[in-house]
Amino acid sequence: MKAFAAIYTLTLRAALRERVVWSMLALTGLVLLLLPPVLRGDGTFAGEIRMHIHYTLGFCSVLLAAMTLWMSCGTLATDLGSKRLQMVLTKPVSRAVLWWGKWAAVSTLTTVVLLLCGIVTHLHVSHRVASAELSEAEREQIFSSTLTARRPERPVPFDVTEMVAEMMRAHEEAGLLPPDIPRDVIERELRNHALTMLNAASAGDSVRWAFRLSSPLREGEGLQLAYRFDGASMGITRIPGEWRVGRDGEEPAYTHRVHQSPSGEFVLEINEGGRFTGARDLFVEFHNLSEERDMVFFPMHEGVALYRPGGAFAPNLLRALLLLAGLMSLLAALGVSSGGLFSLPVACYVTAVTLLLQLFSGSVEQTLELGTTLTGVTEPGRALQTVDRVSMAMYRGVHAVLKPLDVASPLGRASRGVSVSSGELASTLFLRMTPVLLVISLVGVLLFQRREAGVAE
Amino acid sequence: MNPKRKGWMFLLVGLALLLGAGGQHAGLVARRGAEDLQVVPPEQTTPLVSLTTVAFGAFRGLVANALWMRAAELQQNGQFFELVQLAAWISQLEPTTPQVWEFQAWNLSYNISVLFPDPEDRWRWVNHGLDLLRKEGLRHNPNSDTLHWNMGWMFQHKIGMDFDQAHFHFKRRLAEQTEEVFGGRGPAGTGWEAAARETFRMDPSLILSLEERYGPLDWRTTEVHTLYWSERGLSLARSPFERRRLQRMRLQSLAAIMRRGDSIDDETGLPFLGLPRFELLPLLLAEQENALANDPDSEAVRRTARSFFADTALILALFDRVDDALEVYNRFARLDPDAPPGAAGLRALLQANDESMRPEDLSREQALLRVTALLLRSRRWETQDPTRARGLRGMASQLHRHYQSARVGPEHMERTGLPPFEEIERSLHARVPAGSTL
Repeated sequence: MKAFAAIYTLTLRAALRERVVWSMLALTGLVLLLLPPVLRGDGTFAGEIRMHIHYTLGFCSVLLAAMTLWMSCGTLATDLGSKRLQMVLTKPVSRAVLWWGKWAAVSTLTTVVLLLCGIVTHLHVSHRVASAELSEAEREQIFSSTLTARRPERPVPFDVTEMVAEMMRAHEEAGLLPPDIPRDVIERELRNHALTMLNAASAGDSVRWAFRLSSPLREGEGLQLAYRFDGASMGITRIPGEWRVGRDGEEPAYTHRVHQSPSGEFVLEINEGGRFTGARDLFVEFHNLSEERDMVFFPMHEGVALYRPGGAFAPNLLRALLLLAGLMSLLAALGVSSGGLFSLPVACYVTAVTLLLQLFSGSVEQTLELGTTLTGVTEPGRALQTVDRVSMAMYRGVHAVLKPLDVASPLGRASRGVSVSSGELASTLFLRMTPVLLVISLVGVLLFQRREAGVAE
Repeated sequence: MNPKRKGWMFLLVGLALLLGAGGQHAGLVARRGAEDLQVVPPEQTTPLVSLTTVAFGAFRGLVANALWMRAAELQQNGQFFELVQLAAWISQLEPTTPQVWEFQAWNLSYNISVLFPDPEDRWRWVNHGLDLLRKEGLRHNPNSDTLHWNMGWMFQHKIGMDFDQAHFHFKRRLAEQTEEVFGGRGPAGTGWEAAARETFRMDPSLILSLEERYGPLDWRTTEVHTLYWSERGLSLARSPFERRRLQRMRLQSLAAIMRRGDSIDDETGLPFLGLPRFELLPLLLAEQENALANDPDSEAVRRTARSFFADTALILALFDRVDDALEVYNRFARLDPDAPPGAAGLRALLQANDESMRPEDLSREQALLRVTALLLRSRRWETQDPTRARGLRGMASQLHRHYQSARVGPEHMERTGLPPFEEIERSLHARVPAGSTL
């Protein structure tokens, strides 16, 4: 433990002597001070506040990620390059302790600075809200939709297994299944089609979702219905409709007529007067009132949600930042491992590429969903097919590694007043990130132990 | 070679190369200016543009691409609050490409604004687009004829026409904004120059020059803003295409000022109805003839002139200015080989127009102009020939009724409907005494 503490302290001191680190810290300070006044929202105060939180902390995170990358890659690589490590290794310090000490120091520094950024941003935002000239309704809206933590409850997923099987059977009997397309691709398309149709309503029809809340609604607890239409399918046509919400098996207790453009997220307060107090099973229905035969579509995923109060804004922001800090710690682990294996520039390159892959994990997942990298190629030759198979195997490998790190935009959610729950934080940190950290550290320590630290020149 | 000598040699070669490169600089700057690649000196641009241009270097394009993708994704998901900032950043990464400013401004003012049902929300987005163009796009591309045309087009089309459900609201907000800047209908008193420069990025000397030539202008209306931007763009136009479309826009806005440039305000003090300013007719005719003389081979210019002469002849006839109508018609006949010159030809044109134009087919502006013309003619005969006056008023009322009843549904009525007949009549009576004419 003493050795660990010594390495930890020495690494921290060395990092604070680095000009790059101080430059990044200075830039972070400048971002905190200078960015908010030049940011432009959509002209609404709520938009400005969201921009302030999301962009200021987003920019700080980018700078801190760069700082983490530099510090973590440099901490072992520079010591190896300058032969300082030989001095340390003459002491009774195992290489594993060296690795963990350096990682802990880098992670601590990053986390502390990130949390400081969060505190400054929170104070700044609170001051702006307190000093802004807002009506009571506007202030209430800020605190109910932005500076809050709303816990989303999602609808019970539609089970389309039987529907898809039935469609497959019908297509097969009619001889409509194209022989050159794999069955699983056809099944996936039919599944998407079924889900699209279950999330759509033609004129005069309704689309209905069932909700089983995680706990019954308490006395005085607010409930918001948040929804968005599938604007890509509907264009800009405004379609009239009626929202109906009720307890399962009963008549709707809440109805509300709308006539909106299918773009943006809309929120309705639906539990005024406590009409759903004690309820756990609810249904939400949208009835299409169009007289022009217009169809209304909702996105297959996350088109409709019920928001419940999930605590205050400050703890939510803290949880979001801790999730980010977790990601930075993994970056630090990767950097320390690369630094133990390669020279500083190569280590930085390897770590940066991995970071980029993580940023583009959405594209990797999309390609895996498509099942091929050859979309748009009608008749691929043998060579292309081989390339496709190799690429897909590589994508699957990358996806398996990156999937645990896929955290759904914590800052974006915190700035929209959507909760990052303690459960999510704990499970992400301990069940998803810790195993990855242990694997990286194991590989890093093993490779570092095989590295010759005292090569004669 | 000994190392010391080698060092000196490299230093000398380095210096020679540096001097050689430095010598190219003046020529390159001059050429950039001549080719209009960079007309704004770096010290006059915004700090952010200077920073991004230098800091990102060759990666500027990649960053711009990433921002384009993010903006497209956010727009598709309906998350708009970041889009103003992203549009500004994207444009600032490519500050001397007018098409980027044009697209981003158009996206904000046209694509995003229509997604909001509330008129005030829509106006905010239209204004975001206008501000992006005039406050930043024109700052970095002050000589761009395209951006000037786009400014004029936003006023002429987005705010001036009735395609947007909230166009009345846009017009009112523009009028309020202009009153705030000018302290009235147009430049009055002192201090308006700084406000016009700051809010509208307008050049006070051009405002005064337009006032002198065509005034008094009501700057609260869209056509006067269109006139300003087309006039300013025309002085910068280099390609024949840009010159023609700016010239067309300028003439169209002048024609609109002639048709309805004398505003009557409602009780809130904002423009409600526009009366014609026929004193601008000789000027406009001269401008059209000039355009024809300057571009004798252009079919587009001939078509614009033909259409202007025919429309103006009809309007003059509507307002009982038969001699003027005949003179303008003869100019039309000169350009149209199928139209016989003289009174018979004018009569045929009027008759053809009456037969082809049912009240329900008229545009809002055409319907309002006809109702106004009939009511003014009725007002003129009120003292001398009350029966005739009653007849004309009846025709106006019938036209109003037919036009209104052809509106399909409340949204169509809200967008293209006319003010109540009695209100139009009351406003005209308050302005024009019985027995007199314009």
